[in-house]
Amino acid sequence: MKDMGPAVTELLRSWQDGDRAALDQVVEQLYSQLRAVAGQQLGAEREGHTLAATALVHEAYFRLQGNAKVQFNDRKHFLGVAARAMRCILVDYARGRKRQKRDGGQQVTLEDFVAPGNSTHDLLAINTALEKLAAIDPRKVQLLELISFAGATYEEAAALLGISEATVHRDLKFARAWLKSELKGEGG
Amino acid sequence: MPDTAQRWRRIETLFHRASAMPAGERTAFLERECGEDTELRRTVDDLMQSDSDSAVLEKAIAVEARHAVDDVQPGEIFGAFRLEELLGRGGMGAVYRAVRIDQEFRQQVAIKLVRSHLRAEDWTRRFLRERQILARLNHPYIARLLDGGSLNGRPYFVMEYVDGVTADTYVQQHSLSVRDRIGLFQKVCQAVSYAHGQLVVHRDIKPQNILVQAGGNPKLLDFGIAKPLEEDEDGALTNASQRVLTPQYAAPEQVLGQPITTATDVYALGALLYALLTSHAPFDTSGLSGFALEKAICDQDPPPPGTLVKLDPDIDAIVARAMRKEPAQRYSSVAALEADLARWLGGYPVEASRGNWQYRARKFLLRRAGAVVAATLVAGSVAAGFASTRIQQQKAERRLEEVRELANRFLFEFHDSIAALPGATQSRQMVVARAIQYLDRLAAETGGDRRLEADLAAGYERIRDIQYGYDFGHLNDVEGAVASAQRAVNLRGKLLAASPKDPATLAAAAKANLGVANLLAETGASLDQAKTYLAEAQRLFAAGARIQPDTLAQLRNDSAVATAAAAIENAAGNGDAAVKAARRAVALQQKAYDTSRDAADVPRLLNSVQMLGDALLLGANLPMDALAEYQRGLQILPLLPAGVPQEMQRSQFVARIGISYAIAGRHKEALPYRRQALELAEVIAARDPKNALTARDLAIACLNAAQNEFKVGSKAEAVRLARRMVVMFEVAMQQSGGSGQSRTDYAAALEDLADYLVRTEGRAEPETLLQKAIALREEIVRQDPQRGVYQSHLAHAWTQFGDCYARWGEPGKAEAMYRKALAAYEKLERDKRINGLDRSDWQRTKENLAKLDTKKK
Repeated sequence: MKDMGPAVTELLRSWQDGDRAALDQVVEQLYSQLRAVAGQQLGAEREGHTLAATALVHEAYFRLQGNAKVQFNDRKHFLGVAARAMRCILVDYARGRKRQKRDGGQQVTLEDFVAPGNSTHDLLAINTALEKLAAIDPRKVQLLELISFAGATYEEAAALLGISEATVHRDLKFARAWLKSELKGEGG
Repeated sequence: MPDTAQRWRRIETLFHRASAMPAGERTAFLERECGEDTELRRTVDDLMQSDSDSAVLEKAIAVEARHAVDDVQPGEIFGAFRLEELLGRGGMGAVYRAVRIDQEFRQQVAIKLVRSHLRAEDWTRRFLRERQILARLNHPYIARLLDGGSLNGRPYFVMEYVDGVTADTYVQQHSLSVRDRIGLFQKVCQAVSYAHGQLVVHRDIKPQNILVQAGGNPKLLDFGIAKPLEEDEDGALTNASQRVLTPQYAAPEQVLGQPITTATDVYALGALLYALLTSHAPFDTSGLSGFALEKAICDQDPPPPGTLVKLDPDIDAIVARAMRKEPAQRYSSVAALEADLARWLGGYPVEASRGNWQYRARKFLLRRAGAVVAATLVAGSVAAGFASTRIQQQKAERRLEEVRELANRFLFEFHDSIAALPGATQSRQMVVARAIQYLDRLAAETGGDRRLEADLAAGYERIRDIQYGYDFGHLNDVEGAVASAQRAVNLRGKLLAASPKDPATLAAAAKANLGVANLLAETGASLDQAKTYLAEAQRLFAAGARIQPDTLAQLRNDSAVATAAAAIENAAGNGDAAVKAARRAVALQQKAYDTSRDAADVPRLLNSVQMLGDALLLGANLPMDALAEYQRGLQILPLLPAGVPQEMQRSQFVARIGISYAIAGRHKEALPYRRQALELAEVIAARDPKNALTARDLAIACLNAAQNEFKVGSKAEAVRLARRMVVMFEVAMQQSGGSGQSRTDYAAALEDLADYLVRTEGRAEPETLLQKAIALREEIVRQDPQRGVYQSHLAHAWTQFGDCYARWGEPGKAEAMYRKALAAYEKLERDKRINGLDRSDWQRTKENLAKLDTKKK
C-alpha cells in the first residue's frame, strides 16, 4: 500500500483539534483505496458497479463522520474504524433485509435463483460467530475485519496490529478455519 | 479464565504444527499430543478439515454489500417520481413507494429497481419496446404499468401502488375456505385471460406477484416485465434465461429455454392454485440447479395437492391438467381452466376428469338429485316427458360446452399464430376457416336454444371483425366478412323474434345489420342490398330508443348510421350525398362527445371525420376541403384514451393529407406528409413483419412517397421507392394467400413502377410490367365481374398503356388501348358504378385519344 505520508496524520490531528473539514480531506485521501476495497468485495459480477461501490464508501464515510465520539489517532486507527464501520453497516443491512422478509411487505418479487455451491452463509450468522471469537481472541477478529471488511493488505494489517507478517498469515489461517468450523456447527 | 486462554493457545499451536507437517504424519502426531483429551483432538481435527481457501466471510460480505449498494435512499428522484420508502426487496430488485412530483395531485406509485444481468441501455431499449403494449393492459385485477427506464445505470419501472398482502399470506391470514381460495384464484385467471386477449403473457405468475387488497380483490404485478429481461429483440431467449426467474413456478418449456406461450401461464396458474390450496409450492427447488432442476420440473410430477390437504379429487385433476409437462396437454386457455373451476363450484362434471363416463354419470346424478326426487314423486305419466327434457338439456349443455371450448381454443390458436408461427396472416386464415366450420355445424342444429344462438351470433361477429375490421390484425377478407356478418344477422333475427321488445336484443340486431351495410359499402358491390341492411339497422335502433330512450346512445347510433350511409353513397359515386351524410355523422358524433366527454367517443369521432374527408376527396373531388377534415382528425388524435396507440390512426390521416395535397397538385407541400407517412408505416410494419395488412400499408406509403418524389423531380429516389413498393405488395400478396384485393394491389404496383420507368428508362421493362399487370387485372375482373372498382382499375391501366404507346410513337396500339378504356368507363356509367375519380380519368382518356388524332392529322 502506498505511503500516505505525514499529511494524513497532521490532518487527523487538526480534525481532533476541532477542524471538521480535515476529516473530509483524510477521507478523500483514503477514498480511492476504500473504493478499491468495495469494488473487490462486490466482484466483477456486473458492469457499471463502480458507481454502486462508491455509494457504499460514501455510506461508510457518513457513518464515520456522524459519530462524534470516534477519535482518530492516525491512519492506522482510521482503517481500523473504517473496517468496524463497514461491518456494522453490512450487518445492519442484513438485519433490515431479514426483517423485511419476515414482514412480507409489498412486492418482494422476482426472487433470485441461487445455484448450489454458491450458497453463501448469512452475514448475521457470521457476525454472531465473530462476536464469539472476539470474546476469546479479539486480535483475530480485528485482523479479519481489517482484511475482509476494509481490504487491508497483510503488510498493512501487520503494521496496524504491531505483529509480523508471518503472524498475520498464521492468525488468518487459523481464524478462517475456526470460522468455517464454527459455522458448520451452527448452520448444520 | 486463564484455562480457556491456555487451551485456546494449545489448540492454535497444535493446528499450526499439524498443518506444517506432511499429511501422513499428522494422525500420529495428534494422537501423541492429545492423548486422552478427545475433545481437544476433535476440535483440532475440525479445524484441520475446515482449513481451506474458501473465503466464507468475503462471500457473505460481497452478498450483503451488493444489497447495500444497490439500495437507494428515500428522497431520490426517478423520472417524475420521488422515492418515499422501501416496501420490499427481492433477488431481482427492490421496490419503493414513491410519489409523483410533477403534478398537483399526489399520486402514489410503486417503483421497482430491477437488478439484472442486462446493461441499463439494453434493458431500456427492450422495455420501451414492450411499454406501449403493457401500458395498454387496463384491468381491475392488473396493477398498471405507468413508466420505466433507467437512471444512473439503474433500470427501473413504475407501477400502480397496491396496498395489500401477497396471495399466499392472504389466504392463510384469513383462513379462506377451499371455495373462497378458488374464487380468489378465478379472479386472477380473469386478469391473465384478459392479458392473453391483448397478446401479453405474464411469464412469472406466483403468489408473491399477486397482492390481495383489503376488499379481497387481487392485483397482478409485473405483467410482461419478465419478457424484456429474458428475451432479446428477435424473441430469442438470452443466456440469462437459463436462470429462470422463479423455478418453483416455472413451466418445463421455461426451464428448457423453449418458446413461451399462453400455455406457460396456464402452467404457472396451476402451480399457483397448488400453492394457494396447500401453502406449498409444487416443487422444492431450493439447492437445485442445472440438470437436477431441469429433471425435477420436466420429469417429476409434484405430489397431488390432495395428499397435502383434504381436497376433492376433481381439484387434483384440475391442477394436474393445468400443470401438464406438454403445453398442448394443458387447458387450451386460461378461460378453459377458469371454466372448469366454475363447473366444479357449480357441482358439474369437470373437464379435467372427463373420459371416465361412470364418473360423469355419478356426478350428473349427484347434481340432479333434487330434480330426480321431485320427478319420482309425480311418477308415471310425466316420466316420459321428463326423460326427453333431460336429453334435450344434455344436448344443449354439450353444445354450449363445445362453443365455449371453441372460443377458448380460438383465442389460444389466434394468439399463437400471431406470436409464433411463420406466415401469421395465413395461419389466421386457417384458424378462421376452422372456426367457421365449427360455427356452421353448431348453427345447423341449435334446437332453438337461445343462449346457444346468442353465443353463435357473437362468434360470427368476432370472426367478421377478424376477417375485416378495425383491428390491426384483420385479414382484409371483405367477402368472407360479409358472409359471417350475414350469418350473425340471421341469428340475431331469430333471437329478436323470440323477444321483440328486449332493448339489448334490439341493439344487437341493429348493430349486426349495420355491420353488413358497412362491409357491403367497402366491397362497392350490392349497394342496394347495403341500403336495405342500413334501413333495417335504423328501424331497429329506433324501436330500441322507443322502449328505452337514451339520448347519448341515440346520437352515437344515428352517427354510425349516417357514416355507413356516407360510405354507401361514396361507393355508389354520389359524392354530394356522401358528403352530406358524412357531415351529419360528424355533427352527431361531435355532439355525443361534447355531451359525454368520454374518451371512448373519440375513435368514433375520428371515424366519422375520416369518412367526411374521404367523401370530399374521392366522392366530391374537393381535395382542399378534404384536407381540412384530415387536419381536424390530427387535432382530435391526442384525445384518444391514454394507452391507445396512435400511430395507426395518425398514419391514416397523415397519408390522406399527403394524398389531398397531391390531388390538388401541391406536391411540394405534400412531400413532408408523404415522408412522415412512410416513416410511420415502417414502424408499424416492423412491429409485425408477417402481417399482410401492415406490409400493404407500407407498400402504399412507398407508392405515395415515390409519386411525390417524382413530382418534385427526384426521379432516382422515386424509382427506388417504387421498386420497394412492388416488393412490399408482393409480400402482402403472399402473406394474404393471394386474395383479390392483394392481386389488384400488386397489379397497380406493377403499373406504377412501369410509369416511372417509362419516363426515365427504356421501353422493354415497362412494357413487360404493364402486360403482366393487365393480364392480372383481366383475370380479376373475370373472376369477379360484379365489382365495378376492378373494372375501373382495368380501364385506368389501359389508358396508361395507351399513353406509353403514344410516347413510344405507336399511335395505332395507343388508340386500341384508349378505346378499350373508354368502353369500360361507358359500361361503368351505365351500371351506375362510376365515381368522381373515374370521371376525371375518363375525361383524360378522351383528351389523350383526341391528341393522338390531332397528331395523326
